[in-house]
Amino acid sequence: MSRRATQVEQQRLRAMLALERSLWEGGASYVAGVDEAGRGALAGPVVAAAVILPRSMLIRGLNDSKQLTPAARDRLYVVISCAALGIGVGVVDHEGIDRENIRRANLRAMRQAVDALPLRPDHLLIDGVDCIDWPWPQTPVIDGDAKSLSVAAASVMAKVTRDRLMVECDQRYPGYGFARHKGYGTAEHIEAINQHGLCPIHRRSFRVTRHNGFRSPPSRGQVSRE
Amino acid sequence: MPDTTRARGARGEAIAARFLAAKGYEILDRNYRAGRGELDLIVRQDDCLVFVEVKTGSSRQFGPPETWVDVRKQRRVTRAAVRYLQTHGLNDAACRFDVVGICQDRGRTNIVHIENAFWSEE
Repeated sequence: MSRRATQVEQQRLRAMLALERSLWEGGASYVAGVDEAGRGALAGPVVAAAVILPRSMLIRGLNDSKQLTPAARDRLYVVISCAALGIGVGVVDHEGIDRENIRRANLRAMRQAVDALPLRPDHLLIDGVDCIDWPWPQTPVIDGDAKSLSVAAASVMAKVTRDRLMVECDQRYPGYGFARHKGYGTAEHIEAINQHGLCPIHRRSFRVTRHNGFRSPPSRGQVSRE
Repeated sequence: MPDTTRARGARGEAIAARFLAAKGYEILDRNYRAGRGELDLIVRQDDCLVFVEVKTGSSRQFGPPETWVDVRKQRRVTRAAVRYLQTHGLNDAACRFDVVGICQDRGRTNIVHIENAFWSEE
């Protein structure tokens, strides 16, 4: 990397630490970014991650997980797991999502991620508009994964973790293409559902899966077949 | 005895050290402890001091992800690095942070070396 490019990159990363910096200057030592992956998918769990970054660290290339290629996310996953002061992951599976609703399942996964941290953070930066059930200071940040480095780090950890879980699901339930679309509603996925019906990890409470020709939604634990 | 995390980590560090030595780096120190932080490898390439974090995974990619992300880690890499620089009187030395990821799967070893993985502003 040229000197100039390094400077530009460092500048970009520093700008993404503005929220963290104001908290650090206010006396917080540990600020955790919290984000989730898999909210809109038709199958599989929702996965949340919480990441505490050290004060002085700029991680090259870190950005909103949606802006990154899968290869770049894998690379950053390794770097973040080395560089972070603490990482926590929370998973709520399809049954949890059907039992509550996606929003609450999501918040519960985030809470689990924060609980799994090895340190108690002084402040949370949470992607989105909601606060979680957590007795210490927190700030929801709309578009947080683009605005805060900690939230971006959490978005990468959540996304990569979930993608890998979905690749495992693909081995257990082949024929749906989970390894490719990770449970999201792509044309291939919808087509597979129409052909084979739902598999055990589909979220039965999601309307899309009902619209697509399923007669009997959803008593829990029962696999409906066309 | 099953393969413990610690044994795997130590083996990974040995592989990383050999790998970097083969790349022409000079190995200065291994498992350097500074207070609560630890530096896996400290190597040198020309005039640049390189602090290397080694991440070792087991099965394909990095194993069941929840298991290795959840590891309690409080590695203060940069702070340990600063300590290292101070104790060795190297405050002005050029340095960088690299990450080496190693995953072993059925006898095959994959190594990724990420140079300049992060910067410290301390």
